[in-house]
Amino acid sequence: MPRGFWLGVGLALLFVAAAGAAKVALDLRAEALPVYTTVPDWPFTDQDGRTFRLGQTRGKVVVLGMIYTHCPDVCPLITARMRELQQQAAAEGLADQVFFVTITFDPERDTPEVLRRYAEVRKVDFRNWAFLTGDLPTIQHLTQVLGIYTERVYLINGTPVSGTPAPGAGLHYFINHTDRLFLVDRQGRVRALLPGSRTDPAEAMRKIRALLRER
Amino acid sequence: MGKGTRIAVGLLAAALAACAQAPQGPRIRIENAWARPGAVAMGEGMGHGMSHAGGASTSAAFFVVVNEGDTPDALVGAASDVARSVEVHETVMEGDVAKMHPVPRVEIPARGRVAFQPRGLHVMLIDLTRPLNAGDTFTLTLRFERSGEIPVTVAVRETSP
Repeated sequence: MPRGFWLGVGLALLFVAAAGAAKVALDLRAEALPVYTTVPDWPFTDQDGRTFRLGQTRGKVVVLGMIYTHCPDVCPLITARMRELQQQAAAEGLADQVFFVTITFDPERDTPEVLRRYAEVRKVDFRNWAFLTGDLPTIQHLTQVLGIYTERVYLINGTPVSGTPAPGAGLHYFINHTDRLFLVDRQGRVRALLPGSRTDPAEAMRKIRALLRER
Repeated sequence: MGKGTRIAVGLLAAALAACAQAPQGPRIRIENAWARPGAVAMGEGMGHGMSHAGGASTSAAFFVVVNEGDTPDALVGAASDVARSVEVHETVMEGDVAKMHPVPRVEIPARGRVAFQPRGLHVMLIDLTRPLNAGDTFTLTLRFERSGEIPVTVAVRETSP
């Protein structure tokens, strides 16, 4: 074989290797998720009345959602999306590495017992999912940290009114709120914002796997 | 055929023709009625004084209203014995914020259909009187402006059929 032939083969192999390396680097960069904020290690109360600190989940990837149980429409969808992810994680053998946290932003009504019944009706697996409530200032502080907008709306004779009505008026209220889910890495940092009730489970699982690959 | 019989047949034919040409009015049919599960919390949280619904639970019912008639109608209310209060609401997304407001009247166009679906129009079941578990059914009575009350059997399930 002429010397030029082998030189050509060598250059071609070098080109293929360089292209492969570049693709791997681009893939890794595409998977690198930004850091938004760190989830504070504050104490909450779980569905069984036990203290639950968010720091307990360090070392695992966490799917975190905020809801209120009186929500008729969007929050059940958020919970359903999380349930799909819980089932998918279990199917992939990741149940011990992925934890699910649902926190209410309506602690006045969502007691541990209310949260437990809400979760039981939806056949939640509590082995890697906690439903949390807490005191109102802590909850409100958390919504600010996570950028969750909430606005309480009372219905007075069928008309929605924001704010606080006269006490004892025999009213019920709903909460306008941000529709979002969060992916939290092993160090407790928010790394992905998912569109809550509209979350695509396949896309979410891809990001969960990417976070699990990080050490 | 006698003369009297011929007149009678003629009148009958004329009456049938008139009926065929007259407006039928709305013809309402309900498809795929379902509702989300909901627990009853037995008074948990009632001590907070924030709401009479404190500790009670809610659900939402969804369906498609089909109007096969040539006259519009409107949904103006609903009732069910599974909830102390039943209201028609709509969820509207403003950016990524979900906002809900009551809707007193929903127009159902002639030969049209209106879907009540998640993140849109729905019937709120507020303050449930009994738990709604997947697999249960209950009756929801929809009240229309022209067609009056129409009872609907609603299936409780996690997701839309």
